Formats: sequence, C-alpha cells, structure tokens
Amino acid sequence: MSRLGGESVRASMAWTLATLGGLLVAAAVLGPAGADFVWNAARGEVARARAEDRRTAGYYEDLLDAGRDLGAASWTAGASDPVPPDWLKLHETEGVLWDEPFQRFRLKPDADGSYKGAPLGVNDLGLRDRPTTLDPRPGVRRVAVVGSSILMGSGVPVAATFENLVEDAVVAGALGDRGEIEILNFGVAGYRFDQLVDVVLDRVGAFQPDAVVLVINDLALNPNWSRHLVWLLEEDRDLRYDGLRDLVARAGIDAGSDSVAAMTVKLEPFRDDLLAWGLREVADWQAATGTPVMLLAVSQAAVAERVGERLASVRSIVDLAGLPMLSLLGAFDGHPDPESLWLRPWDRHPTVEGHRLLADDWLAQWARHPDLADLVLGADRAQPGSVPEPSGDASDDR
Amino acid sequence: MTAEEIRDAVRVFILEDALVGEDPANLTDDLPLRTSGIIDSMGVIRLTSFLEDRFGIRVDAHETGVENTDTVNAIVAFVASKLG
Amino acid sequence: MTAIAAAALGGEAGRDASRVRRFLGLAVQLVAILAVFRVYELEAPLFQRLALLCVAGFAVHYWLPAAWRYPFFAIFGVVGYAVLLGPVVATLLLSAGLVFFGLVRLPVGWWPRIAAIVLVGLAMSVGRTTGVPGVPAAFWPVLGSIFMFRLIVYLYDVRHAKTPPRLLDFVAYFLLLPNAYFLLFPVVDHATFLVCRDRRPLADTAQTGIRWIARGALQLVLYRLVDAYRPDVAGATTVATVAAWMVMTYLLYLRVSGQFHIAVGMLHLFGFDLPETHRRYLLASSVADFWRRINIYWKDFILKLFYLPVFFRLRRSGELRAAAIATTVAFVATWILHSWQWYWLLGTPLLTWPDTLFWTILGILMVRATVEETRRRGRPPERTRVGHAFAVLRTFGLIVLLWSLWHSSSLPAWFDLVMLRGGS
Repeated sequence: MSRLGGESVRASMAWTLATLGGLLVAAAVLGPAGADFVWNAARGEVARARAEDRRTAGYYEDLLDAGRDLGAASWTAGASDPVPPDWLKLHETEGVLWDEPFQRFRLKPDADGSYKGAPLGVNDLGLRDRPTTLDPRPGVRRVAVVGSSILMGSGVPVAATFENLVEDAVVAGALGDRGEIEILNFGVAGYRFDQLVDVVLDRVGAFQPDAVVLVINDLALNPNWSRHLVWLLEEDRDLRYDGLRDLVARAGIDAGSDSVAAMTVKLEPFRDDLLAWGLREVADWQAATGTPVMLLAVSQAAVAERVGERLASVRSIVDLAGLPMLSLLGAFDGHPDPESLWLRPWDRHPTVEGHRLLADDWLAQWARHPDLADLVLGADRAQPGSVPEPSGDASDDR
Repeated sequence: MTAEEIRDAVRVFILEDALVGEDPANLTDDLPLRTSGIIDSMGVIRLTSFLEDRFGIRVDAHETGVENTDTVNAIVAFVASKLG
Repeated sequence: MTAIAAAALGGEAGRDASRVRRFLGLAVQLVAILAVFRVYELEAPLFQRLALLCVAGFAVHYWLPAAWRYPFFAIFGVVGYAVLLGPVVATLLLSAGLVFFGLVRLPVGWWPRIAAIVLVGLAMSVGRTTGVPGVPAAFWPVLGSIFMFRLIVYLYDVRHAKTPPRLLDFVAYFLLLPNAYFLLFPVVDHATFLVCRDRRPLADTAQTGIRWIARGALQLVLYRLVDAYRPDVAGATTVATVAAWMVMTYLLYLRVSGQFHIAVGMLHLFGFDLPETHRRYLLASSVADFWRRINIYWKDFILKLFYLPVFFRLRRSGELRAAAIATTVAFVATWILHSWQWYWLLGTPLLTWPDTLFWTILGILMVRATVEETRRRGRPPERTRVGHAFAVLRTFGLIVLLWSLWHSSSLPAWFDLVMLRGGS
C-alpha cells in the first residue's frame, strides 16, 4: 500500500466532522448525564479552579517553597499569562516587618511606597488605614475588621477600600443615625485563617473595639488553607494554641522529617477542624470580652461561585459557632464584565470599582439585616425606641 | 550530464533509500520529501553523500535546506546549478 | 456565442461552483470548530478572539486574487496583532521588527550586521528584566516568542541567500498571527515557510489545516481530563499512584501538542502547507524515534543550525565521530536554548538540576542511538511485530521516567517520588 499521496479531501473532511461532532455530542450528553466531574474537567473548570488556587498560593508566596517546577511543568502552566517580575507580593516589599513569632510578618508602621500600583499607606499603628489613635476617641464607636488582601485593599488607595467606603457612608447617614463610627482595617495580604484568629485574639483588643468583623475568604477554604501552619512547622516555631498543636498531632506530622509537601498533604483532611477551632476561639473571645463579632464572606470577582460552594460545605461549622454572618459573594453578580474588576489579568484582586461594589453590597446587606447592623454599628438613633450603645466616653461630641 | 540523467539517478536513490517497496509512479517530481518526513535527518546526510559521490559535487551544510532538497525537482535544480 | 466560448464559460462557471462548494464545506467545519472552542471554553478569551479573527481572515483571503493573498496575509498579521494585543504592543513589535530588518539590510559586511543585531538583542534582553517605562509588560514575552528563535533561523538563511531579503517576507514570517496568543510557538523554519506557501490548492491546504485544528482541539480536551484526574504528587506513595502520576504527567504534553496543531493549522488556512509538528510520539519505538516525532519543528531547527553544520565540518575525519560530536552539540544547544526561551517567556532563566539532568541523559541516549544508526546506514533495526511492540513500550516507559525527573522540583524530590515517599 502506498505511503504517499496523503489523505483524500473527503476522508479529511469526514474525520474532522466526526471529531468535532463527537466533541459537541459529548458536550450535550455529559452534563445532563450527571457526569459532572468529567464534564467540568473537559470544560476546564477543574483546571481553572486549581489555577485559581495556585494563583492564590503563589500570590502569597511561600518563602520556603522548594520552588515551582520551572521545567516541563511550565509547558502545562503556559506562558500566556505571565506575572511581571515587578508585580511583587506584600512580603517581598519593604512594607513588612518580620518580627512576629506567630504571624511571621506584619505591616510596617508608617510604610509608604507603592504596592500594586497604589500607595501602600500604612499608618503609624501598623494598619493600612487612615491615621488614627490607639485609644478610641470619645463618642466614636470603633469597629475592627480583620481579614486578608481584599480587605487590605491590595492595589487600591486606602480611601477606596470597601471598608473605608462603608465607614464614610455610615457616617454620612446611609444606615440611619449611627453617630460617629470608625472602622479599623486590620487586613494583611496573605494572612490565613489561623492568623486572622490570632489577630482577633491577640491584637484587636489593644484598640478597644466595640465590635469586630472577621472576614472569611477563599484563603480559609481553598487547598492552600494550611500554608501558614506549615510554615510555622517548617520553621520550628511555637504554634501558640493548643487547638493547633492538637490538630497537627492528629495529622501525624513529623516536622523534623516531613517535607512541606508531605505536611500539606497530611493536613488536607483537617481544614474544617481548623475552621471550627478558629471560630470557637473567636466565639469564646466574644463571650469573654463582651465584644460582638460578625463574620463577613468576601471573594474576588468571577470566582465567587466557587467560594460560595466551599463556604456552603462548611456552613454547619459556621452555624455551630453561633456567630452571625453576612455574605458579599453576590457583590459582583450581574456585572457585565467581571474580569474588568480584576487589578490585572494575572491579579484578580478587586479594582476601585470592585471595592465600590463590595461596599454597596455590604451596606445593602446591613439594610436588609438591621439587627446585624445594630450589632456592629450600634443602634440607629433615628429609630424610635432605640437606645444608643455606649462607646468610649459617654459624651456626645458630634 | 543532462537534467534527465540527474533526475533518473536521484529518483533511483530515493526509491532505494527512503521509499523502499513504493511504486515508482507515486514518486512524483514535486512530492515533498523533507517537509513530509520521507527524508529525515539521517536521510539528508545519506542524500548529500550520494549527491557528492554520484555527481562529484561538494555540498555544504547550509545547502541541505528544504529549498534544495524538498522535491526531486529541487534536488535536480540544485545539482544542475552545482555542475554549472 | 460559439461552442468553444460556451464550453469555456461553462467550464468557468463549473470551476466557480466547485470553488463555492469547497468554501462552504470548509466554512461548515470552521463553524463547528468555533462551536467546540466556545462550548469547551478552550484556552483563554484571547484565544477565542484569535480563532474568530483567523476564520474571518480566511473567509476574505480565500476569495482574493492569488496575487493579493500573500500581501493580505502579511497585513492581516499586523492588524491582527493590534486587535489582539492592542495598538501599543503591536506598534512596538512592528518597530522592533523593522529595526532588525533595517540592520539586516545595512550596506555593510555580514559580521558587523550580526554584531549590531546582537547588541540590539542584548539591550532588549536587559529590557526584559528591568522593564522600560511606558512599555507594557505584555510586550516582552511576545517579543521574545516572535524573535528569539526565528530571528536566528532567518539570519542563517539570509546569510546564504542569493537575493536580498524582502520586507514582505520578513513581516509575513515574523508576525504570524497565532503567535500573538501562543507564546510557546513552534519554530517555523524560514525556508520551509517560503517553500510551503501555495504549493497545493488553497482549499486542500485549508482542509489539512482544519483537520489539524480539530485534532488540536481534541488534544486540549484530553489534556484537561488528564490534568483533572492526575493524582497529587505529594500523595504518590504506592507503585500504582507513582506510575499513574508519571504517565499522566507525560500526557500533559497533550497541551503543547494540541496548541501546536492549532497554531500551524491556522497558518494552513492561509495557504501555508507546513509540515506536521508532531507525529504519533506516544508510539515511538526508540529514543531517536521519539526525538524525531515530538516537536518536529524544534528537531529540524536544531538539525539545521547545529547538527548539520557540525557534522559537515567534521565528517571528513570519520562519520561516527562527527555524528557523536554533532549530537552532543545539538543537545547542549537544546538545553541552553530552552533556558533562553524560559527567560523570555517567564522573565527568569531556567537552571535546575532536574532540567540539566534530563537533557544530559536524553543527549547521551541520543548520541548512542545516532552512532548506531550511522553504523546501520539508516537501515531500520530488524524486529518482529512483537519486538516492535516491546520496543514501543520500553521507549514509552523510559520517556515517562525521564519526564517525571524533568517535572520534579528537585533531585531529592524525584528520589522521594521513586522511593514511594511522595514527590513535589
């Protein structure tokens, strides 16, 4: 039989149409047939979810990572979406101090310079927020919000973070007459859930807040949730909390010999345990201090659905802790081009517009749940029968 | 040496070296040989050795490109240009 | 009207009708391809735009008079880059290209021209690392992808060309539209690019291209399934999971193969009857056979620029020695140029032990295979069908093992994997 001459046009066309037809038929069949994983995998959802998790992981880069595969694996990662070398992570900048035994790094007080295209603007108390004082001003109700990079406002000016937009709106009367409100931004890019819990338990108290809002984001839920814990083990640091020590012991980790990857794998089944521990600790702190705590779920644009699914899977844990929660996962719904709300194609943190949408949604959620607004902001003085919450000095200096 | 003699010699070589068992009628003068993979990297070297031995020409590395060796026509034209 | 004129007109109408039928047949397939791309959300949104642009360009190009098609292709590439990457990046790319072309056409000797091009290239390499104010970050990897290898091939051909290079050929060869998206791009040979243009009827070439695009789309979907089901390397602690991880890691190459099929298939739509980029590499029966089947354009690039020049220089002193040294040079060049490619695409050079060891081992095996082939004078080894099947399995296993080394983050990590302790 001749090897030459190639394939006939008719045969080529038939093969092509058979291939394309088969792919289209498979698309029509797989979904309804319930082969969800296969269909999601073929459609790229699994890859996109993993890439999002990898992006999140790499975004808060682990200094101890043995290193991404720079060899053959990069064929699969593709070079179409490179992160420019000057697009630094927070801990790669001059804006942090590495003097925290548990947190490892913190925002450097008075740090300036640029971070992801916006002024870093850390105040003298080490918060990426407007200047303030350690002691609350008389007559001002103080709310501490604890979270990671979205709260911190990576890539947007301090005044444009959703937390400050909400503060301005509440002070202007968007939710009735709440008096003077000050919302403190304790957000630090890269902090995992165990770190956020530590901020609540160990740091916010010095600022004497009247209420605390704890942000739940994808860093608490995605496969990279344990990164900070693994760092602590790798660096032989004190885990500080018995709950964490117990969790590590149950995971069977031998920090002396297990690699970073092995520790991560061993911790995989314990994500919910860490979440439960953290929420219990925060609930206990609430009871001990009398400071009300509310949870706030946030995510980046275009990935809210995935975060929502993960959050739904741990909803029972959240409910068991007895802490109320508002969700801003729908903040970007209906936006015609969610990807335009990303800082850059390789960085999905919200833009200024994204923060505005988050702020609008938070205010709207509070308007729909006035009890939670009262819990955090104090009663609406314009409502009949409301009793203003005492905040600091009882004098009214409005 | 005429172009036809060159062509016949080249066709015989290709049929004996790269297209063993193939019907000679299928080896047309414009059939792609290099770009279709019929003549691979080792085949290029054997082709070059054949052209040098058979026609007494010298072939340099840069002359083994597809422009000179992709088809029987191209090979014949190349040899003819070398022979002057 | 005479009978002859009537017959001629009838023949003309018949050819037109045939041309319309062929076009419609191609168009139907292209619509199906776009539907598959859309339904499966293949690649990124930019890829979807590229596909639409190529189909639209094909529809115009097909009906142009033959003399207009090549200039249209070149201009279409320039416009396409502006549409896909923005006018700033496109202008910068075209300007960089014109600078290179201007240097090539300088009325001075060859080596001064090369020196000037090297200097400009070095300056651009520095720019890749430091950035340049006002130059978008997206510019640098695309610049590298376009010029880092094709410029070397181009200069090699121009040096030995009998006529001065043309600007039209330069623009058409470098601003290949699929390269705007596929930064990891097959090293299209310059001479092959020119030789393959319009060598078959456009409809036939386009049909081949469409088939390759469909094949590429299938490979990209299969890649996703492999990626989704691939076990986590850290948990690969049994023989079965390690083997599964290794095999599926190798199969991730389907993404590269798929992209290359689509990229070159797109060029076929415009009459470039280019060779295939891969040829059933999973069925290679030896390391040498594997090298010739996987990323054929890379193999041909290395062959043309490194292997043949070295071999021809040394062959008088013995073909076996020449083959061994030429193969060694070819693999050292491959190792260095892979790092060069990584620098341009990702901003950092590639220097890891797994990568170095991978190319070293493959190079040593290829030297051995080349020497054996040279001794055999190209005759294939004599094998029964069972023997051939065994050779394919053995080669597959060897490549899978080497590939797992290449994919490991470090040598200790690879040893952990092989010793069933989980890799990384």
